[in-house]
Amino acid sequence: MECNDIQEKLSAYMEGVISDDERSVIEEHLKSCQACRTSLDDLEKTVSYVKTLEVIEPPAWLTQKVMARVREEAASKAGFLHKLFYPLHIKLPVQAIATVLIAVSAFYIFKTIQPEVRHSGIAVDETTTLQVLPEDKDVSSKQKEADKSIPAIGRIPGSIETGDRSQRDRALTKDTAVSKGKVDTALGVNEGKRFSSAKEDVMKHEFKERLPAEPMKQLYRAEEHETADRIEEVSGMQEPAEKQEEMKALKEQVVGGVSVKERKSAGEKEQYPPITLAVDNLKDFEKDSAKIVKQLNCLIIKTERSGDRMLMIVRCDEPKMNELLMQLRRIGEMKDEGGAVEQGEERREISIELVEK
Amino acid sequence: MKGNVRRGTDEDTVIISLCKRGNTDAFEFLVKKYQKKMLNIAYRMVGSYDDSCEIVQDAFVSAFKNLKQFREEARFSTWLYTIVVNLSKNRLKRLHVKEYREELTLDNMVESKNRNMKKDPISTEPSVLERIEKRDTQEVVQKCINSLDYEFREVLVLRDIQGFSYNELSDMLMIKEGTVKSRLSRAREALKKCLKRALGEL
Repeated sequence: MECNDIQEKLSAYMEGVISDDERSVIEEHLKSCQACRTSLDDLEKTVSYVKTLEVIEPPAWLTQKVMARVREEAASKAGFLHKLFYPLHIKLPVQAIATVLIAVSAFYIFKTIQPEVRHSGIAVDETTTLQVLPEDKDVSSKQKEADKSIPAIGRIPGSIETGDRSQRDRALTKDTAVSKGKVDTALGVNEGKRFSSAKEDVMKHEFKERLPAEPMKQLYRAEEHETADRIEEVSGMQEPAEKQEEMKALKEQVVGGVSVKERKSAGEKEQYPPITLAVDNLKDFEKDSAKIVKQLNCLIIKTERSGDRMLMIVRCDEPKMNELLMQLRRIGEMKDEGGAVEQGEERREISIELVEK
Repeated sequence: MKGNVRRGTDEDTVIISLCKRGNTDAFEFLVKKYQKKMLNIAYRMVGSYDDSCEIVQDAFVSAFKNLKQFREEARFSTWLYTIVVNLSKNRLKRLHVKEYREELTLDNMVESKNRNMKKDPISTEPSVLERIEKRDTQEVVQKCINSLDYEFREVLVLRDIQGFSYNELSDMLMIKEGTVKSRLSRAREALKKCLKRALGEL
């Protein structure tokens, strides 16, 4: 064994924590090796130096300092324990309640979100109704304006507001202003007031119902009966005619040309004429079209069959509409292009009428 | 020594159960009983009286906080000593990092490397010790211990100063007995070299 190996083991040898074999080898080596003997000697001296190190005394205040900190810790720990254990009985139900709450709220969130998802699926219906809705609002708001512009004289019977009334009369229509004046003089102030309130009611009714001007007379009469307690008699046959004119003028004023047109265009959008396709066999077509629709990620909303005719409503994303039409042309003979899709038109639904050849 | 520790453990069991119930007076008894040995371990580990006092305080507070985690598998004393050894080691590590950082901020890497080499405790020891007029062996020994890496320091302190068995060292330091043996051997060899340089002759 080399000296190095021996010296490595001298520490263990010195303490006797070594196998008998190793010990005998080391002892054998030490007999013949002065260097290793010195090494062992130095090692023993080193350890003795270390062992002779004085034991130091702790300062007198150490125990107090330690205990001060420990007591502080104990106090806070007790507080902490109180917090931790006493509400534990409460905490468990709290956790249970929290869990239930989360579950319930999650359910409601899901419930509120779900209809939105469904809505996005039938976006077409939504857009059409949306297009109609603002118009209705438009009309009703305009009507309200009209109501405001006509002072509610009828509601304060007996009060004399000739000035107001004449102002309103002027505002209504210039053409009827003259004849209106006649009516006023013929009926007298009170009568005129009553008449105007009746007229107001008629207008309201008319706008609500969107009735054409023609049955105005009957309407007026019906209204007249309703407000019979206020209007005893409308003198002269020329008055309904006058009122008709007034109504027309008012209607134009209130509704205005624009909103009428809007409504018309909205109506057009709602109903596209169906595309007519002539096919050899309806059943075959149904299969083929189903494939096409599936490929294009479109959706068949409705299929209606009656004899040799079939009506199919397909919903498609707007960019795919043209492709759908092209595919359809391949399987059937396009007879009527119906409301053919124009570029940039945002149309998502298409009706296809199928006729067996 | 061993007998004392064993007897102490038996006594401690009752006291520890009192402590676990929050009895601080019982804990004070344990503090008085073990503070001296803990202070000596800490002092020989870190080489500073003030620091070791702080370490002992921290160790007792930590022991009190974690008393619930103490299982009777180990002796309470061993558990306490383990805490104090670990806290001492942590302090040494922190100091080491601090020194290293200071060097880095002062000099560039190459220079700091050189400085580290110069700072090699064994080679610098004589020059340091030259300044000590009274060659107090005690101080020299402590300085030489301080020059060791903490993994050598702890085995030397626990075995040669505190007299713990290899088995106890293995438990405390969570290393195999074989490792204890080899570390101890290297620690003693390093200390021998240091003392030889410092004292000239052993």
